[in-house]
Amino acid sequence: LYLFGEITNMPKVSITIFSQEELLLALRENKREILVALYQEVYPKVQGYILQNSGDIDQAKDIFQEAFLVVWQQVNTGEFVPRNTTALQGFLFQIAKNKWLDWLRSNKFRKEVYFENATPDIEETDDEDQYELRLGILENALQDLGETCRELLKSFYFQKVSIQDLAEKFGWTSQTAKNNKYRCMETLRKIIKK
Amino acid sequence: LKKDLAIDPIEYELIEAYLENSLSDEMKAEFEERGVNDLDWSLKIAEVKSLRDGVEKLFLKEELKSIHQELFSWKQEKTTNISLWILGLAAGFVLLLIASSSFFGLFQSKNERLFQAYYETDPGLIAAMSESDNYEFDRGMVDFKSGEYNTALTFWNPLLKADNSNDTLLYFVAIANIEVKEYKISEKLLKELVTNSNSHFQRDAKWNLALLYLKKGDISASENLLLAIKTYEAAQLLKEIK
Repeated sequence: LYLFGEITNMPKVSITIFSQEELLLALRENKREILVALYQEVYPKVQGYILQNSGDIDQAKDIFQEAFLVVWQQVNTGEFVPRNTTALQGFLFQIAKNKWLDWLRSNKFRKEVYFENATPDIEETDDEDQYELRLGILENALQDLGETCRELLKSFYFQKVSIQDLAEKFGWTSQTAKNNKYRCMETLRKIIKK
Repeated sequence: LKKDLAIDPIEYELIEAYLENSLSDEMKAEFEERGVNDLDWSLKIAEVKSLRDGVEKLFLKEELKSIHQELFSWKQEKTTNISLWILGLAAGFVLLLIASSSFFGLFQSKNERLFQAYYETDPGLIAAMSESDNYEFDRGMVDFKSGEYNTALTFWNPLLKADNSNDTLLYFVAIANIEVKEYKISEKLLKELVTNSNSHFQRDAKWNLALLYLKKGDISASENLLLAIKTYEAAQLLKEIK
């Protein structure tokens, strides 16, 4: 069964066939195959590192996903510039490793005992705290949004589906798709401001 | 972002177009000019940007959780509780699968079998996406290498229509068409390439065209191309055809 699991979970795409420029472009467009390939390439290394350094699998998963978001953000803002053929993968590993080391340091500093309940806590500035707080509020608001709105916003903002394709998908005119997108975003704004 | 700003649909669309860099120079100048007179304007831009970025990031966060679940959750499944009868059932299923595939293989033509055995998906090009005029091609190449051949063709077909002199484009459009089983279109494009002795893709075009001829049963046309290729693989295929 272990073997079956391995086969069914193999990615269709190997990350090694992509240049760094292609990876960055695909990451900016949130292409799922690339997200999967990058995840599968780097996560096992991060997990190995964290398990060898006092962590467990859940912590490895959380740290890796936080690091992934940081890397994605830096790719999107253009802050990350690849300098060799495996720069992105190396950068992701490094960010995850640093996050874990930060957590270990802060953990030792505060002498926390309840290890299993601890969440990764990295020293953050007030701005970062504020940002995380707003993102948390937005996350809750997104959960409260209706299913159609969620699908619409996910298709447009995450999957980068064009308005024309969205209209076709939902059986609307382009103008209706635009109006509905606006209404969904407005609903989201209102939920946040409550 | 605490101020309760009213953003109407037109403003919203305008701000999004600005953030997506899709305004004309004139409109962009007007847009930026508005910020001088309207003190809330920059706040509105910041609010829309923050909302868009946040939404995208949160959907990515969800996606990462789902990817983790797909890739690694099975590893935590215990293997010790599997009953022998389940393993027996699985083994029986595999045997049945092997037997049935051999059975159906009997009805597959020799040409089709040889095509399947020798045809290999082209891994695609490592493309450097720096020149703007190559952007559409490179963008399609990302899809091609991800196995999304139809999407790749949506980028490449308009380029080919505008200019069919680029042999690289011609070759990859032909290969993408094989992948989506549009063999006739592919054959037509490959025929254009096999006569181009300056193209780096000439030999690969001959090889793939030979396979397409074989698939449709045009053995002599296939053999002629294979004889011209002079590779070990071509010689092997020639032997098998005879």
